[in-house]
Amino acid sequence: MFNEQMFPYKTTPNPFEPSDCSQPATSLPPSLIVLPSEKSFTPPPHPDHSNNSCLSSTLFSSPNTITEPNTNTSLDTSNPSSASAPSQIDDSNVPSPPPPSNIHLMKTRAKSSIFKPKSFQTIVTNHVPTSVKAALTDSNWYQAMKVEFDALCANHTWTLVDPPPGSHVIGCKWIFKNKYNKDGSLERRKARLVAQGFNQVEGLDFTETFSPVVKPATIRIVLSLAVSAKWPIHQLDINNAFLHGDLQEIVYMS
Amino acid sequence: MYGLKQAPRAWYHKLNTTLTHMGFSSSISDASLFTRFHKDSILLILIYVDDILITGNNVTHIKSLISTLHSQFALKDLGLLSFFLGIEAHWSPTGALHLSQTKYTQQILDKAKMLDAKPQPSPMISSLKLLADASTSFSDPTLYRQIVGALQYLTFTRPDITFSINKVFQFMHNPQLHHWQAVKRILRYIAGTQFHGIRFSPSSSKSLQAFTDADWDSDPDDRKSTSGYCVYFGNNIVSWSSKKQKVVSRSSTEAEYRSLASAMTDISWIQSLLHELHVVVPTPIIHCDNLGAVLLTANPIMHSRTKHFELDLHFIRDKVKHKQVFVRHIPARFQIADAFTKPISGSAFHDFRQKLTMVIVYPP
Repeated sequence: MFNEQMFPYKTTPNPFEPSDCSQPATSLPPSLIVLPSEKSFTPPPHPDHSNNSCLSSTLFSSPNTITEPNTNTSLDTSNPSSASAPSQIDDSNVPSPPPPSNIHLMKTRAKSSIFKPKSFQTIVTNHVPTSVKAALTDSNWYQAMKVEFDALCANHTWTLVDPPPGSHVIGCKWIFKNKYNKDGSLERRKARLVAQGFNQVEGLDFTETFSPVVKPATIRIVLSLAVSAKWPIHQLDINNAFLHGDLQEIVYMS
Repeated sequence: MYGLKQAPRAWYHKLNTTLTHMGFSSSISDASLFTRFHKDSILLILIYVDDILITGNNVTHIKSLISTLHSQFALKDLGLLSFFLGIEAHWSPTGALHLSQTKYTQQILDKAKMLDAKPQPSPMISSLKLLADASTSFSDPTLYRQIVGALQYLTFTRPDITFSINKVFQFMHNPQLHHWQAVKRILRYIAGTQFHGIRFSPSSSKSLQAFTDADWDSDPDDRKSTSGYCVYFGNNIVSWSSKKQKVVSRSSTEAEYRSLASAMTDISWIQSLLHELHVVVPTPIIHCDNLGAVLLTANPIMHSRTKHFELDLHFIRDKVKHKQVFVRHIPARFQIADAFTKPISGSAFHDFRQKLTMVIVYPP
């Protein structure tokens, strides 16, 4: 069935032979001949050059449908509306892409005049800044940072001092995050100033750690009790929980 | 200040001081549970860092507690329990509470790019014996660790996958291709059972019952056994575990006895917690399907085959002697905990899931 000596694409139909299904099976693998949609396709092409050029001219006459696959002009265009303009220029300056040279039976999108413009999408609206400098220029993020900064000041988190010589100073970092609603829309922008705790040394910057995490079994037992006794169960969320605590140790942060 | 190592501790200290001033006391069994018993008013507070659950028998006291906390901290009152720690809560018309983690499940499946996976009826095929070294290393060990780590939190409302997740968890240090295949099977199972969760139904019974089982010599690599147990408080399952034992057992009775001991420690903890909550419970019952292990708890004899048991295992004898716990033998067909010790599939798995009081929680 499949002749591995012969590359199927090179076997163009002989122009002097009637191109019907009586072709020898060895010349082409059957998967290339038998097309699922024979009706939509033009009959097996006669290698008639006038016919071929006519086909290509109809394909490439409308510049709006064409997008250059690899032109760098399409990279520059940020909005899709201007995408048609450079392709029109390309049509005159750059030689148009060669018409499909193969004329065998395989159906391609280009032969069926299906062209899809390459889309380069960038989400501009939900951009998360990577640096403080970038965040400060954006009014939305500036607002988010101001909320966090006000909360820090309101809780009297720090006092400005000169670090004593030899003291261990840890860094800090702004973290920016978009918070989304359940339906995927943007709820708010959140900025959080965090200390780089991974630089802390035990015994120097902190002595003991503990996290108030309730055991899953405790939750289930209490829920089971509440359900049996028909008690209401309320739910609270503390804002800026970690700003409320009072540190036992002095921590220097730059 | 966020990011500091001592920040959670400082926050807990602050909250503890505030709540102590308001007459609450921190529980000894779980430091994140605060209780206040005042005449006949009961108030319970559960704290998960900055997420707080409040329940009690007096609605006005709950309201005043929330407003007092509001004056101390900036907080958001989220109303009645609906979504807590990634767990969705639904109330059924009969007053039962259904917990599920549908959204969290979808996030895991999305991360593993298996949202459209073909569902499977059970998390692991029953004949599967996972070896530590049987194929080539998995190309992306970080993904393995992330997915399996994320799956572990799913056991909060999914006792049915506890065993399978514990199994694949044992290969976190060196995940191989066949381990990842086992993980994908679990993911296919949870893809088909996204809406499953546990149910807490109102129960008049305050009994504590545990089922323990062990699979002797279950690990083909180091011959260690697996112990598993689950604890019911009234009708509701509250605690369960599946663990590879740390010591090699020489007999199935020894493995069962070890499992019995670990269930006993959990029951003791639950008892002390319930005692702090002023709940009077009848003597707990532990069900075990190994007659040898049951008899060992009652008869202080040293057979040649049992004399090597560690002494600390025999604390269970003390408990039985002082009638602090009953250990009963049950036929294997009534055993619930066997699916915490070995992979099962088919109709046996279906039965197991029903006994775990698991239900399908449809979105409202």
